Amino acid sequence: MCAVIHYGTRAIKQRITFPRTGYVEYRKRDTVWLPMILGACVSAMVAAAVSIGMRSHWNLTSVASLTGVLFAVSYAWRIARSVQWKWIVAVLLAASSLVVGLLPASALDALIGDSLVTPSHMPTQAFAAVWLCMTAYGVLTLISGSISFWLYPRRTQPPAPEGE
Amino acid sequence: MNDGIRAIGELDRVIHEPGRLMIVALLSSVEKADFLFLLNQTEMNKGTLSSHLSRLEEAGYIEVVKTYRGKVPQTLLSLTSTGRQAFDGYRKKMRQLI
Repeated sequence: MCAVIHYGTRAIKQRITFPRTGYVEYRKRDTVWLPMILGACVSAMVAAAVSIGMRSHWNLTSVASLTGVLFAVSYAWRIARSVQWKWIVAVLLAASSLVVGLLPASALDALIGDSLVTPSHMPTQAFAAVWLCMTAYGVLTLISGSISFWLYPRRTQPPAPEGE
Repeated sequence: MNDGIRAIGELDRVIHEPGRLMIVALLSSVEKADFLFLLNQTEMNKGTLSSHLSRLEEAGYIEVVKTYRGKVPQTLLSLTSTGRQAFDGYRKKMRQLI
């Protein structure tokens, strides 16, 4: 999967993006340690919070939903600000998270049923909420990416070949 | 005349021109870029961009490499260490002035 993403992205850039917008190679970060340490700290804190939440029988369904809203906010901040129509995607991301958070426990139980194998110690309703949120984000970002991919070659044309 | 005002006269004129400033600012954030990328980003015409690039190359601020992407000619541009130093110096001076 990683190879498909790596080589697929490179092929798309070489065949579609660079002939239209020009070739660019961005500078590599001076240091990778700071993001790595930050990522490790955040991961450890999230893991600790989930672990405590599970032992204390917190309602993890709301946590999954809240995470979705935060994801939607970060999507709006990073992407929708520069591409106007992506605000629809940000709103849909937030709405789907809120809908999952508002689903009654019986609906989540019914969804899980026998169709999903839940990890041990994880409450089934919380797992169903996380699964639903992730599926919704996956579908929404896939549709949004497909639309962008369809629009890009139609909105940009490579320049006529001539000397520079 | 105070020192602040006098410092305006010491600004690097090669970089200070808005067109060239755009080019140097763009190249400072990338490893390298081609002519088409700069053309799209700066929205200059080819002649103006070429003339600014020549001026920057003369000053030793950018490196120009002519190559091919398949059968299509490609002009790759990157900031030299002299150009990066000049741009950093220019930014420092501007911050002091404003």
